[in-house]
Amino acid sequence: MLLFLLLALVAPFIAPYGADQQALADRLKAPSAAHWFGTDDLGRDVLSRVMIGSRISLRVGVLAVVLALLSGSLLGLVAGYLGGWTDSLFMRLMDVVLAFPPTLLAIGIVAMRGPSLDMALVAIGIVSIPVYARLARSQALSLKEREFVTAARCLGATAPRIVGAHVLPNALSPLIVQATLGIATAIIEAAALGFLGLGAQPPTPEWGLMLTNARAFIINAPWAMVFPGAAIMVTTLAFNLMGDGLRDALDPRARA
Amino acid sequence: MPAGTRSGPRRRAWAALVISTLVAVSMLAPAITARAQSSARVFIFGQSGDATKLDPALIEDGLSSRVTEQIFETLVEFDGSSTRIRPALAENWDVSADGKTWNFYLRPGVRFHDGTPFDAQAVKANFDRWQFQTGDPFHKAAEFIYWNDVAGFNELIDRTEVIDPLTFRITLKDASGPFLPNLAQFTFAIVSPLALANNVEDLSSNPVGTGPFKFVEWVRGDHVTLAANPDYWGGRPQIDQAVIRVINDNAARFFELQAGNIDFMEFPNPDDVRFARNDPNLQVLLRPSLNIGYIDFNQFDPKFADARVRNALAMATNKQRIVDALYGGTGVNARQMLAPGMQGYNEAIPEIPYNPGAAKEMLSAAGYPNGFTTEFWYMPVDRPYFPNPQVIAQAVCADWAAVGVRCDLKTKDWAAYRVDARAQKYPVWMLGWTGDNGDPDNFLYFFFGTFSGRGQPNYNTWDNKQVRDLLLRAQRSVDYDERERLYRDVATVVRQEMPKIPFANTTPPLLARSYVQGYYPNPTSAELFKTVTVDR
Repeated sequence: MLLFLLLALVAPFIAPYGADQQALADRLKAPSAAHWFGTDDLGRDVLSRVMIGSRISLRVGVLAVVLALLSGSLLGLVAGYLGGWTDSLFMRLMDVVLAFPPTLLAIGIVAMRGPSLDMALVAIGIVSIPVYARLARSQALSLKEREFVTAARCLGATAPRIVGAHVLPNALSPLIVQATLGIATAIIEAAALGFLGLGAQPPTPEWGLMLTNARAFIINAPWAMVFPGAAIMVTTLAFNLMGDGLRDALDPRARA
Repeated sequence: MPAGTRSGPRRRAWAALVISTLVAVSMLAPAITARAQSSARVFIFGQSGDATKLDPALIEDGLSSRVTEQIFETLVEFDGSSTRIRPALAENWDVSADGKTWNFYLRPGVRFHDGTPFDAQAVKANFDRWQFQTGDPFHKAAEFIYWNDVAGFNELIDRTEVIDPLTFRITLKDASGPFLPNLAQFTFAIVSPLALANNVEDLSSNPVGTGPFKFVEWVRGDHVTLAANPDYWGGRPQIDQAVIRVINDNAARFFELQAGNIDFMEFPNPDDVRFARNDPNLQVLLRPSLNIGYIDFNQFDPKFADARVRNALAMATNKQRIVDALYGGTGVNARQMLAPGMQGYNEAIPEIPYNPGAAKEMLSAAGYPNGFTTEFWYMPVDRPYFPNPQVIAQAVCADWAAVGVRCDLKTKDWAAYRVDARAQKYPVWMLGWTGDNGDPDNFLYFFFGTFSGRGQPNYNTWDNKQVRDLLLRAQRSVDYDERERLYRDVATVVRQEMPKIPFANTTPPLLARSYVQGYYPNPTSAELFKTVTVDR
């Protein structure tokens, strides 16, 4: 996990070649000392592209989750704390979003605005909003009955202040755990959209896009496909493990 | 029922089920073998995309014409693997001394698949449909791109007449060199007037012609099935059924061919052709070259209205390196907007030099010392002249980046891609052309011969009256030497102005199972299944 973050940070400095540096004479070369992961159909170094691609996946994963986390938490906390028709309205809206398979919904959103990495990012963010909204709402529902919230209300605190200062901090840890797991999902979805041609556009070294381009050479140059695929797998696994670890660390019951 | 006694009948029920399954499977097995045997006479063609329509007058792409050419026939057709003209629905013809009056003597006893007779009236009904586009009852708000833009028949044909049931006369306004080869194009196929009258809006669901195959079904995005026409005038085809299957992905199509699930395929990945050559079960056929892939500039965009910018980008592209690496040995670096060996191909014109330094200077002179960013549209499907457009686009853009021109690579669905290219919505785009009849007019008149102005659908955005006049004169001439001279002059102007970058000419490879015989790769890609045999 840390390795991945470090890699994403320093990739442009340590990558042996540029992501778009073509060498048509060296196309589809098997892994060697010069090209550890081999080269793709334009003679680009697969290792460099996988390394530089980590930045793209990280950016999409983190930004999409931040987008979903911020808007989802806000909706969920407000709905949970206020209750009544606000709650019904917000939550039915979330149900509508949840009713669609997330990838399909993301494809729909991208189709409306034309394919690009940024649209993919926004689409993935939107489809994950309900997860955070529901989590935040359930936290708000239980927290608002607690004594410290009642006390704050008795002292005359306004609703925004109670939600911001008292409910949110206490609801934070499950949201953070969920967000860490969400990054893994977002990375996979971005790769799926890239694979379908709906996310990053060539020549971006996005892992999903690299997979789809290498598919034609699966027999004579499997390395062009194996390494980006492995990168997706390892990264997703790392985020999932970190999410599990965080949950254990932040859950008071588990600690006891 | 007590629990203990339940297991007995239940176990027996299972046994019965297993036995009956085995019996059913063993009964199916001969059926499966029988189907494999009967399928010996089915020819399955793996195609890279689906047809758009099955109305020959309205289509303009090879995926659609592959289907319509088996169902419909033209008055004259191409002979085997050449662009020589041979009789088809017309048994013979003559032309007046001034080259304007053409009499076609039609083949007697031919019937459409719906049983109605083929005669001069039927031919006339089709010509009227094409000619009187707004006044004819068979015309419904459609563009006859070939009639108007490719063949220029709207300008050329004066009138058509039925002389007797088997004699049809066409009178031209002027003599025309490419007239007869133009008539052999898939688009001027004769459709049953009854089918037109019944449902001209959607001929695609009921295409009725005179050809060797009858239409059976079209499952969109999946396959078209055709059945041999037992009453075909040229004799019943050797195969009983032809299935044109859509398999978009080149690699997947190749796997299907290797597995024997299809008998024939177009557009293999260049790297797979090498595998096919070494596989004793497969054969590689090469289509004689009659195509060109090019990069087009929208000259309504001020950047690309400047010939210096267009020339600079042509010089910035290392075409030779790209063609060598990405065409699998089936392509050559194109020098002009024709295929080598065609009439009018100007041997005096050299290759476009690769010179990024000079390109950069030229861009500076045009006012772009730091280059610029442009959208670059690449085709979503592989075509004979661009075997992998997305990869080629990336290679071209890497060259352009070296002189400061940055690409924003874009694509969209193939049908929409062409509509938008024709609507001039892209600044720079890739496209190409496979010749329909071997005549230079079929390339150059289509590329540069018509100009409709901004916003009017036309692939051509280059407003050059000199070239248009030269092309019209060449089209209206029947003198070989004069035409040759005129087309060479066109090539000279086109080289100076560089309205499009000629990219590559190819001999497109086709792959087949070794038992497929009688398939003649045609330079126009007009390939008829009527001679194909599949003796496995």
